[in-house]
Amino acid sequence: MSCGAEGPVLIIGFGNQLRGDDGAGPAAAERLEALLPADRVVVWSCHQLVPEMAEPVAGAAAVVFIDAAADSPPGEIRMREAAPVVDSSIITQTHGFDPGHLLGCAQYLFGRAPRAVLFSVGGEDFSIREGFSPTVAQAMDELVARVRQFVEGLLSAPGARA
Amino acid sequence: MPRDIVIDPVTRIEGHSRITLHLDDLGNVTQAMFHVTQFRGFEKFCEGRPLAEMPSLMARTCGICPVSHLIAASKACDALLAVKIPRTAEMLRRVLNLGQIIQSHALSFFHLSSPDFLFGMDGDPARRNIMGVIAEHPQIARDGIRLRQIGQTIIELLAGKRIHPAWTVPGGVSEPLSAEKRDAIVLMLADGLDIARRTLLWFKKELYRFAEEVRVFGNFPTMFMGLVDASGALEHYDGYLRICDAQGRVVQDRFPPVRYREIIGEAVEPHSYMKFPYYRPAGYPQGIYRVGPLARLNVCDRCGTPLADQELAEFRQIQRGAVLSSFHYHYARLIEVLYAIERISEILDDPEILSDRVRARARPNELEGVGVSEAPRGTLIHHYTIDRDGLVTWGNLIIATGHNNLAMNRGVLQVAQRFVNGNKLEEGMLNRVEALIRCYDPCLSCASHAVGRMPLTVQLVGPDGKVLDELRR
Repeated sequence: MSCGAEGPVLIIGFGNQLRGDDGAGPAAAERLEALLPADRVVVWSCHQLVPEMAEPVAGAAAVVFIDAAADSPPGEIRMREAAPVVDSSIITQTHGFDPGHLLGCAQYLFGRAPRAVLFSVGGEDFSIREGFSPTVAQAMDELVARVRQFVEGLLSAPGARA
Repeated sequence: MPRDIVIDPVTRIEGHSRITLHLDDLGNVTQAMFHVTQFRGFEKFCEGRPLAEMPSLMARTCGICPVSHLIAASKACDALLAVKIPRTAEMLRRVLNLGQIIQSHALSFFHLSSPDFLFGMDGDPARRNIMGVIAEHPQIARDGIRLRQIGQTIIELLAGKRIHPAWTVPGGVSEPLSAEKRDAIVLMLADGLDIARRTLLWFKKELYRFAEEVRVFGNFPTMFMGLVDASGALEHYDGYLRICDAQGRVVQDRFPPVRYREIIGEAVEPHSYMKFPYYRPAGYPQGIYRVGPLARLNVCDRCGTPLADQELAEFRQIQRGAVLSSFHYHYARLIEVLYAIERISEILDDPEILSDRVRARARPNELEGVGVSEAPRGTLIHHYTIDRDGLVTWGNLIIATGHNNLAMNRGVLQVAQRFVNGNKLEEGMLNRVEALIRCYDPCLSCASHAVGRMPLTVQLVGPDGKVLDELRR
């Protein structure tokens, strides 16, 4: 995967920081902001994905989503490609507005869905609390390191904007 | 055999609720109830907090309209400090409030309700949602996204962030506006104005397709309440309470908001956590009234901006007296968006808007304070008492949506009696019941923001508990 547009690489960490491990995405994004070049990487830390993000997503060179996963073993970090989706039948609420739908919005409304990946870390405690379970807390350094390594790889790839 | 239909949850609104329809032996709807099933408790847990915390604390009531709570709470705290805030601070709060109205009305109209307008009330639910709009009506989807973005960006530029900003404080605002930020806001307004105008044009042409919905969607005589300024013009930040009746006659005018309890009572019903405010002189439940965009346009003498006043004149051609159908909340919402954009432009043109005198500082000087403003959904009232140390001892909030509780319940019954056949459920019937609720754009606290198809199960259940019919989506 390489950068395919003139825009920045966009990192979007999303989740509810008042629901324990669900806040892993925003927390990782906040840490990454200090580690990556601000002129080439834009970092958002947010509660959830919303359609208003579609336009900047469409203009990004690439998008890296970071989220907590309820269906992975606690602490396990996964990375997968994210593709545009416009199948409304699987949306249940805005909290279910996932990277695929956001990319679908970008594609339909603004003519372009950049290549995107989703990094996730398995969570084990999504109860109403601040802070992470010990397992996720321990995985955070690795999550940040892997996203950082991946983004730096994008930035140094041939054809990437200098 | 009497039966019940339960719609749980109600979709494409903010918050958690349920609708129950009671049927008679013939399958006719005899009673309807709109239940708000979530409990928040903000009035209780603010007790003991310092007054300076109240704006930020109260903004947490809601993720969709935190700005409204921020403003009403700040005004209540201004009263506790007994200060008159600087003129520039008031103008900046006004812009913030109008930015909130733009983004919230855009969310309601485009994201939540436009699927019904574009695909029809009986349209395929697989398409009748925001993703369907994006796929099949991209220009309208783009307009909705852009308009909401404009409102949110105004909030962000003024207050530092879009959700739960803490910029409005007791005595004014915490920072003045820079020329750079003012110019950035001004730059967006032309785009917003274009979107508002073309959406109004489109929606007015579409209204004929919804004649039956207009006829029975909460179309009954009630009173209406909203703020107006000293000249009787549309007002969202300050001014006086005005109440008019179904004929459009003013029954309460220039009423100081601080005395709201003389005219507004709050009843409680066992089926809902949301209170039932009523107009006290008429008693409960005869004192039913409505608030929000439709009410504001019904009570004001004029908007006070050129394009919105033209639209208001056309809006008032709908019927003599007050416009009664709740379906027209959508229409009124669009006129208010137009107004908000024009008004922001006027305010930002004021030579004092960049003044750095934006906060009056004082210690608590009063033990009781009331703050009233117009939130997107209607009149919002915050009322606190404090002790001599400035700690809150009691709080009362009347949320905009609460004022409409009686009307929503009555409207559900009207729509259900017209459209629901208890012998054979169809999705379009139930969507209309939900769509009636969406007219009011209720904000039941933003615990859930449904934009698509939430799991919905409707069951016909006999007195013996046996499921007689079931509809799932």
